[in-house]
Amino acid sequence: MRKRALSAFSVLLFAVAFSLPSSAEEAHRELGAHVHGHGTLNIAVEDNRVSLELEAPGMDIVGFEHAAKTDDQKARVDAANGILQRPLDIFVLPAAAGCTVTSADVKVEAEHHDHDDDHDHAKDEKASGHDHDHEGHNQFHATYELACTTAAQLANITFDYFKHFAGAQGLTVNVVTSKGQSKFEVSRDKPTLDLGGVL
Amino acid sequence: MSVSRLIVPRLAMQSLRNRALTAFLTVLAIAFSVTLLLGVEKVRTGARQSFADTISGTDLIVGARSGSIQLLLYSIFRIGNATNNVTWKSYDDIAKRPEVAWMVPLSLGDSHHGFRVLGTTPEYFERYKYRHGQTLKFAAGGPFKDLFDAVIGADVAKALGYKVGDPIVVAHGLGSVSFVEHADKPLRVSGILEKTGTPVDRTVHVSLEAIEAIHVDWQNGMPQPGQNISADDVRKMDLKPKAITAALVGLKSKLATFKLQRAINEYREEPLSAVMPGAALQELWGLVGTAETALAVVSVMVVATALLGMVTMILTTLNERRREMAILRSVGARPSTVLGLLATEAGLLTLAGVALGVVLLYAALFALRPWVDATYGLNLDIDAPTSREWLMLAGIVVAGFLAGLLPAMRAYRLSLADGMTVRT
Repeated sequence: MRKRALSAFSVLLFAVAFSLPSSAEEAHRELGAHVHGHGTLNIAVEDNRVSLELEAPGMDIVGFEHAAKTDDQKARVDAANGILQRPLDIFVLPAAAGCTVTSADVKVEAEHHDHDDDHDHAKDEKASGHDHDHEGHNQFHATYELACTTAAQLANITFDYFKHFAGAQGLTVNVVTSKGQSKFEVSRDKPTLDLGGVL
Repeated sequence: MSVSRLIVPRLAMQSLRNRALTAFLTVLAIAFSVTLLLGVEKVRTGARQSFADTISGTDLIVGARSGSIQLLLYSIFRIGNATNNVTWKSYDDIAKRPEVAWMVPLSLGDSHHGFRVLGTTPEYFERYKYRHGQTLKFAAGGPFKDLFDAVIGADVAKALGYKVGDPIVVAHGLGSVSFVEHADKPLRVSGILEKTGTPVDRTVHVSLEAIEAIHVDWQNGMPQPGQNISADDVRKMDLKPKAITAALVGLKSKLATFKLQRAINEYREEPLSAVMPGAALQELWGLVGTAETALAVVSVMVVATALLGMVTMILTTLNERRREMAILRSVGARPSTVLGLLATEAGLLTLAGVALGVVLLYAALFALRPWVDATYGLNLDIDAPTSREWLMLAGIVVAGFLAGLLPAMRAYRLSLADGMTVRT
């Protein structure tokens, strides 16, 4: 069984690799799950370094998910970008942790979004240039690096995120620390997270 | 002359001493119920912890595209099957990424008397960690050195009575009764692992090359007649695996966890999933965890029953104690003192029961812990009661005191009505 599945699979791979060399972009089709009102926040803590990654549907952040067309829409995207550039305003950390932002990167990703920069897809260069003028599901993807003086004090996080973005209802929070991995849910009704047990 | 309120606890004690046997039995009943309640709590947290510690030290598990729970179930718990295999090329690609510190392949699909056979590398025995980062230990023998060596888990060794050096024949596919066996290429037990309380106990570990080797002359899932390649010839062949089922990944820095997870989930050449084992275990516990609520409810009911028993005991003795009450009243005790006396009595009984229950629990924990660990792989931590447990204990004492008010009220009314005339 293992072998047959494998050979069938490699035939498929070959077919994809050689029969459609000019249209690799079209040959690869997949869609990630997309739930309006619900985003994901990833928190990784190591020593006194913290990295945050926020993924949220455009609907949550600006209220639409196509490329900004009107001036009003463009202004909203700019405003959202401005807020997202300041992670400590949307995820309020305890002062005792003494965290400062060392890097913040906010991107709007189209549905058939560009791939991770580690991949060498020549096509991606083109993709990032072309306009996203379609009725897709754009999402915001922000990555942050923080440096803290005492990361152990990060016990409580208040999510002002919900105050800033009216469309956001909930966030799944994945946390990785030296103690292990855990998963939490925060929502508009319960916008705080207690990390006491995992730090 | 009035009876000072301060004398109430002393009176209660004296009165209880008068009925030492029934009082002792009541205390014992409460103690057992408290032991049960706290014991269930300990087992509950122990089970949750043991479950969450099934795998630790692994940052990501990589497999074919599927949900996190499913991937966890088939790769770690060996329940169910993979949706697809992962090609060796993809494994290699991921292993070469700069964030990756180590990667251990897992190949499943064969079985031995109903126990799963896992093809892996010797590194597995160093990298697979459970329960606060403990590594696997060998009860006998060592990791596989030869192509046809196998390392078996504690349950496998116990159930099938294997010793180091015994030959075993792996069956193709799953299930305890198999029609096609790899009889031409028997394996040899090179090591037996200590009990861990994880699915490792029920696994036969072989090298990835051995998995390839026992399938080398097979085609389409069946051995081909006239194409028998002897075990010795196999050794000379290229046994590099072409596919695996899943892989464990360890990272140089935890900060890279999400970046690598994203890269693997978006890996274009093959649909793969990378899941965080800790988060997936937590999700899985959410599903099976309803049983713990049921356990907690049952033990609360046991405590309620014990308190009810205490109330019954005090109520039944009330009749015999009318004279006692009358004497108290005659020396100037107010009806409210009688009320206080009985409620205090109930409170003292419960307090003694709770204290004895805690002592019993820790005695039982010390006595049974090694046995529970060895038999069920359940690690029960012996530590001071948590604030939650203290709260529960305080709650029981208060509940006992309040329950005592019931007979106390009755005694109060009786002492008012009876006055000093005792009708017998």
